[in-house]
Amino acid sequence: MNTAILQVEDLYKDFGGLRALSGVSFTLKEGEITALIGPNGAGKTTLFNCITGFTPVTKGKILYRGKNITNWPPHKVVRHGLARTFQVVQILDDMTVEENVMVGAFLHEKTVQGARLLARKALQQSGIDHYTEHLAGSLPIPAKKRLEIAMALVTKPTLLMLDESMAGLTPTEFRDVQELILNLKKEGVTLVVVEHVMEAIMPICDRVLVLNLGVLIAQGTAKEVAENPDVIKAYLGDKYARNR
Amino acid sequence: MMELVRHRRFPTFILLFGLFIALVFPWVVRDRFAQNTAIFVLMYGLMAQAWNIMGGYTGLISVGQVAYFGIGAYTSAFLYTHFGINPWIALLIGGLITALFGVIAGYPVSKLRGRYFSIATIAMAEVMRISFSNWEYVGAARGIQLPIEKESLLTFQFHSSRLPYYYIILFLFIVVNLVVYVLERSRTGFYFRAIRDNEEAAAGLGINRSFYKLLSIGISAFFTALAGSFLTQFSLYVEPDYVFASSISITVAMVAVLGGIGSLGGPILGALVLIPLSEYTRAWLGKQGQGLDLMLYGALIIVFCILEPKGLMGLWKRISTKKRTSP
Ligand SMILES: Nc1ncnc2c1ncn2[C@@H]1O[C@H](COP(=O)(O)OP(=O)(O)O)[C@@H](O)[C@H]1O
Ligand SMILES: [Mg+2]
Repeated sequence: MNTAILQVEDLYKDFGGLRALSGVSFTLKEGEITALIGPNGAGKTTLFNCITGFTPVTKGKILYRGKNITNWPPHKVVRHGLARTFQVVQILDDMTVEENVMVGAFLHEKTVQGARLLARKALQQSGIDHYTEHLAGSLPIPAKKRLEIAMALVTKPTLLMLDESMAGLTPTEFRDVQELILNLKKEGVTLVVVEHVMEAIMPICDRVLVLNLGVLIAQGTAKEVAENPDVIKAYLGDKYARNR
Repeated sequence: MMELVRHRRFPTFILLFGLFIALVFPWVVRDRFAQNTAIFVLMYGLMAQAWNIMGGYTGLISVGQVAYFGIGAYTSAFLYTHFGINPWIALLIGGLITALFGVIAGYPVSKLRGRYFSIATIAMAEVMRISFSNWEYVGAARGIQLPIEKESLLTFQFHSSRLPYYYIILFLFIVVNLVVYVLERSRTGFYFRAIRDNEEAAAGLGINRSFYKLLSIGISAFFTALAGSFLTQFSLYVEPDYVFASSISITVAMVAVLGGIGSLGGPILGALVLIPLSEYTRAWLGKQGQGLDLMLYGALIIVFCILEPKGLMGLWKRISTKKRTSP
């Protein structure tokens, strides 16, 4: 279980004059849950975008199972088993919830009937099967977030990256997502989770990566990171360290 | 307010009934003008349905469909007059060449989004019109005249009756509708709609956006070219200002938009309403009325955008079903 699934090597991303990522390097191990944290604007979403091909990388390398996937187009990345959700939900507003998930299911099932079956399963797994026939654009935000998880799941990822999927959820709702994440881990899915709600992610993650102003300032277990003075200064200080 | 979606389509029996009406129409209505109008209803219906594949399903709003129409018209006229290729085969080759043109010309513009794409299609159509107007090899501004042949299905020429033309264009019209019918129920159709709704989400779901956009453009260009080839045979000449007229692009888009885009029934309804309206107002107003029919379209579109943004299909939907809402 300890083989590397994703290696990011010396990654840089510039937006014009703004350096959003600066020499980021880390390795994800298969089957682990990694929390990616850091203050707003740290570069977490940008890192996701670089890995999944939504933003071109300025410099550096991304290896997925040893294969160089740097700057691959997004659809190719997904087809290799690396799925994600978006901080700002990206769903198909004018299609039904089921149809949204079916689109992803077509990666594995050519027929409409087959895709529908796969979609139903993913909807159940993410707990929004009661919305099947609804227009996706008309759902409340928490349901949209779950729909997005279902859309990612149906592509059968081996590495799943969630960008603030629990933001705006009530404690009961995010406990459902927590449970879902733990279940996925049991099934062997590797996860990277960006989350602001520390109580939601810290108890369930194996490792933590801390980004600040585009620099990876710390990595380790939740405990190690919480005790790291740089991290406390940059971010955790008021939000988490004090609670311990 | 969450919306439940059902009954978005015409029931099959209505389509079959419509087909029956279409089959008997020219036997019941013998008036030549009415028969001509029916031919144009089907020709624009064919083009509007082709437009719908790109615009309605894939979200690539084209205001330059006449580029495909004209290239199709010219290719079949040219193949026939220069190489004596049978008009039916010329029609097919014209469609394929135009599809290829659509894909090649579409490659650089398919990355453009929304109105930028639309503007590019206008430019593409104008470039074609001007190029063909100056291209000596294909007759420049004079165009190409087709020789008159003995009438037969093989020569695609009929002089004693309009009926064969009617049934030929009806056949092509049915083919494009069948293609859309199948598309709606296939993976490719889902991919087109996903791209229309949200490109990022579509890519995240594993869709190769460029490939499916170009596929959509290729299919649309193919069928639009068939309409162009049909017009070549119907009028026995092509001319740049005739087969590359920007009013054709506008009419096609309006028929689709008025009918309601993104559904099979939309372009059919749109053509049934708009084309007779414009043909009859034009006849009624005479030569002075040139352009007035377009103004009428414009007014209709504005009224519809305000009252029924989903077009005639939206109206149909509301009449035929009550939209259920849940808390
Ligand atoms: N498309 C973009 N163009 C320009 N700047 C961007 C873009 N996306 C992100 N940024 C900038 O990059 C930095 C990191 O942003 P982001 O990755 O969204 O942070 P996080 O997700 O950690 O809150 C911010 O300063 C943000 O303004
Ligand atoms: Mg972010």
